[in-house]
Amino acid sequence: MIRAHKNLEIGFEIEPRSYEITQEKIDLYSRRVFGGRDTKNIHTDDETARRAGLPRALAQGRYPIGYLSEVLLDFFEKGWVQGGQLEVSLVKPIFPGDRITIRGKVKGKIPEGEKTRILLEVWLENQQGEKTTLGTASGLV
Amino acid sequence: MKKKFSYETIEVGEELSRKEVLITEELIAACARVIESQHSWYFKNSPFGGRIAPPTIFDNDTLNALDEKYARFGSIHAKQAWEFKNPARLGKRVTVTVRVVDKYVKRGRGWIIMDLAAVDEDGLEICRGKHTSLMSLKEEVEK
Repeated sequence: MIRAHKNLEIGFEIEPRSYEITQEKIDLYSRRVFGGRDTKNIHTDDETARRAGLPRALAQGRYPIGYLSEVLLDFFEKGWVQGGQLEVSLVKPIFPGDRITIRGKVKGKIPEGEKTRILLEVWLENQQGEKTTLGTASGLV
Repeated sequence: MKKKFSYETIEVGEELSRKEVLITEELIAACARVIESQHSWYFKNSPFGGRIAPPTIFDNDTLNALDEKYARFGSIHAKQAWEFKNPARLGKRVTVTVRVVDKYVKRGRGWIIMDLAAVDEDGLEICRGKHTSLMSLKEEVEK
């Protein structure tokens, strides 16, 4: 994987990374939320989701953002932990069975003290190529 | 007794929660597991000196804080912002504070914005998060 550096050109695309979203992974995330307990909620139970007006159980919005952060950690390394910024909109639900791919493209560079802030357009897309999460991220190099 | 979760009862400026979190091996491992990460900084060592937690370690704390005060059926997470300032280091105690910073109505539906701030025992700012959610799901609307 090519890491972030100040000479990256505008338009450079970070190496995409894909994750399979399964009900088991969503349940695991839910158990972390609820202190290890199994619960019925809109993420773990189709019936509860339908009562909420949703077609079926869906992934927690914040869960795939954790994947995005991991990709950006690998790209920016220390400059993600100390200086990383992320702002995304969750525009389409992610369901069990979806395969999401995390993508990013350099759209700018701004000097920040002795460092350079690399600005990215970032998005997650599903197996149909539909963007589910999109926004901007930046880190320091 | 939890408060009813509605646009009217949510108070802008309200502190939902302030709690101390000890960054343990178990906490780091649980967070890393759900994001399928085996990053060496979480499990071995990091350039910061020692093991650190994934930057999104506090990603549940905003909604958990909301659930401590309000009886919430569910909400739709619409936007998320994070600023990562410093690593959350293994063994450190981190104070996590969550506040309601705004609410508004758009197309007849209530929205809430919450801010999370995490500061470690040395006064080092770890991160800030901003969570925007659509408040009402169907069951609440029908109540």
